[in-house]
Amino acid sequence: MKKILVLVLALVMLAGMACAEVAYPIVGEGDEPITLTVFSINKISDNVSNYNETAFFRHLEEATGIHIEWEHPAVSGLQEAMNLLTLRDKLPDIIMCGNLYNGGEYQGVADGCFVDLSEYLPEYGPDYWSLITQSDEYYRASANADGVVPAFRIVKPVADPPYHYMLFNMDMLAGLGCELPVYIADYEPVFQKMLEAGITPYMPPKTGYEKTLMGAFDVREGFMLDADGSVIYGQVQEGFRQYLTLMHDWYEKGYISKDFMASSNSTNNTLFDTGAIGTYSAAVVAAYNRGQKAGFEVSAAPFARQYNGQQLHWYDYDISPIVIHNEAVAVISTDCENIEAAVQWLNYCYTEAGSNLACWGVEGEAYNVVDGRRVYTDLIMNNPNLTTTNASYYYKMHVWPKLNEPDVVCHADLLKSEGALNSRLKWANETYFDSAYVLPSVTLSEDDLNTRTEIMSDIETYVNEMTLKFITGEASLDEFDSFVEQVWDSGLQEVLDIMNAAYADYMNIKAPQK
Amino acid sequence: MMDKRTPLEKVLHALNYAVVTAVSLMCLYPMLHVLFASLSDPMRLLAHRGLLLWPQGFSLKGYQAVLSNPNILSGYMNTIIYLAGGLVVSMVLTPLGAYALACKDYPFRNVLVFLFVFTMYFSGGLIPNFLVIKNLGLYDSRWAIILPTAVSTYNLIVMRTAFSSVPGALQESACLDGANDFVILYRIYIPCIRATMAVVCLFYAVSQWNSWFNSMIYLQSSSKWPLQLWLREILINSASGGTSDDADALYLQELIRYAVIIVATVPILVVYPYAQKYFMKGVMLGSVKG
Repeated sequence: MKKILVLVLALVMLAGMACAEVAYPIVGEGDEPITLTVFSINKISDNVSNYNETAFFRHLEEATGIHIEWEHPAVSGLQEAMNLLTLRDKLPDIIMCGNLYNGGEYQGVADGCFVDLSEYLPEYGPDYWSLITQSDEYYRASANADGVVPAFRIVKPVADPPYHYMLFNMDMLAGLGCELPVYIADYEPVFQKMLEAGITPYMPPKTGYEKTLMGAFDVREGFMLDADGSVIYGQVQEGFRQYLTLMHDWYEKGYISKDFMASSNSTNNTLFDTGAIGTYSAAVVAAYNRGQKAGFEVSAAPFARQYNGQQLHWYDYDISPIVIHNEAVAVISTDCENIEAAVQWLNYCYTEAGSNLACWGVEGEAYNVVDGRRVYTDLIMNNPNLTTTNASYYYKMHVWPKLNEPDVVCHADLLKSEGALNSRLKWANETYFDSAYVLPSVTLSEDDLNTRTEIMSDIETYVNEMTLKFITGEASLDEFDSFVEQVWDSGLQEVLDIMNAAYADYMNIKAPQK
Repeated sequence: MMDKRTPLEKVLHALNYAVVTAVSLMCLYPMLHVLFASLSDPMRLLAHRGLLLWPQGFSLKGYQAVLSNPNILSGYMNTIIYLAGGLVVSMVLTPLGAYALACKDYPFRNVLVFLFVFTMYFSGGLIPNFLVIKNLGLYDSRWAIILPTAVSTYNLIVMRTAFSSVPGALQESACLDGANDFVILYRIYIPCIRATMAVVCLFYAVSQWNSWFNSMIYLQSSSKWPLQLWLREILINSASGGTSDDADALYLQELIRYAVIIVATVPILVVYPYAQKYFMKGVMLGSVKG
């Protein structure tokens, strides 16, 4: 009798402990399989017409027991498709790009289109819930001051190293007798030699805002934090004048391409690959891989500094463990008839098994374990029918709301060659850059958002135009003070007040006590 | 035979030929560029600067990728469905409307013409259109592609003008013989303006072949999308370029861009020369009253 009592008690305890866990696969009432509709772009429309055809989603359906009916909008008309969604009689159950809702995903909840997940997560999405409530930092990026959690987002506890640098063709540099520039002052001699060799030295972004160089003068484009932690506007700071002075100087000396205002990523890639330009800023691994194909060595220059010992504060990639990515802000619509199942389905990719499936695929198919490490199979690395990029969306899901291992660990494109990985890691362990001046993405109320949009659209048009004029010399830098004055007169202070209040609210968000 | 032209005429003639040849080459070159690029080796293509006068190397990989893309094939099927269905509907409705508007004794003719023409200048806009389609139950149905564009006002007016040029006596005598309006339209009017019919048919065919916007807005299921929308997807996705770390993917994407343009353009290019003889007649018909 006693034994039975102990057994019963133990079972009760077990049941109590297990209540915050979801048992997969999920079984619906009766034998009917649960079906959900999901609105998501199709990343590999070159190869499949529907995500259900991919290995990953077949495995996901098996694991979760939930069948998905996909709706794949046109990538080229995603924003229009999102805008028209709300005019329909019924929204899809899950929408993968909730941040494209007019006013953002929080506004979607406020408008009654999306579900506030905070009521459902503790019971039906415990794995995601425990991830985002583990610290204030995680929670702040996932909920607003009212505790509304609108979406499942990518959770990436270990940040990836930087990927965007000023790139150089090392063979070109060797031919000119130059080395990789480290400090701002190192660039000019390199540029001069390039110019003498008939190469256009530098192609800045078409906006004129080169993040890495602006960072050397302690400014960022748009709103940023200052050393005291208040929100300021980058383009009215003294550092911006110094940045413009440098850029104008380079432009005058012919170091900057005269065509930079008409440049685009793809033409820049071509210009760099063919040796027509000396440097530009771009993703290092892609350029490295292209260089390998074409037979030259690509290397990233370290983030430029003015002097030895300078600490940079502009670095903004992967600084929050909650990553906002257009295709991976999953919201559940209020028209969904089985919200619990939708939450459970999305939660799966935050469980250990689900995260493994999304980051790596299935063992024996997408990867094998060799010497205790996971190594991708030829299905991913050398598939005659799928490029590695597309295979990363066929056997696994490279970008998806999931518990994400860092790309340097599991991104197949990066692991294609040791050289590619090393090109990415080259400056990753440096300690002279941090993110102190980066403003996190704070949420504004509808009124504040409208005020900000109204004031800032005028200011930004003016500032963007003037930036280009200062660089090309169409406007003299002597006018910088009156330029700054003009921006202040356009109502900047009002927006800064809004932003500072929103930032303070943001910092006051505390994760719920467990 | 003696050439009776004066030297000045000869020079002018030669100049004319030169100008026309130059202009036609300018029109032809973009097409040739795409054709050559689609057959090139992508690495050499990307490295190439300036005019492309011959494929750089040779590769059929782009076509291989395009033709193995399941969406291109379904897109082709859909385009053919929309084209055939659209043509049938348009070519039934447009003559009916044009005939009525061409009849001088038709009541409220001017008001109706005004209402038709009004839509050429003012449209309801995207969202009202979307709501109309949705509330008619056409959303995500193939009819949403065929019906809203069934009658183009421009084509209607072209056809009405052509009908007006048919002598009224023909109608009168047919009436005396006891023919009703349908008989007059199908036995007399339409045979009289065969060339215009062909031209209008071509206009409808080309606009249906090229259209993508309505499909993007009204069709939820991508399995119903026409070829042009897929073409746009491929072009825009690859234009944002450089997002892939995989060099092979990047090169292949470059080829696909060109190959898919060729695949999507060739059929309509093939139709054009056959329709051209009618095209010339149809254009003249408006000006030369018979």
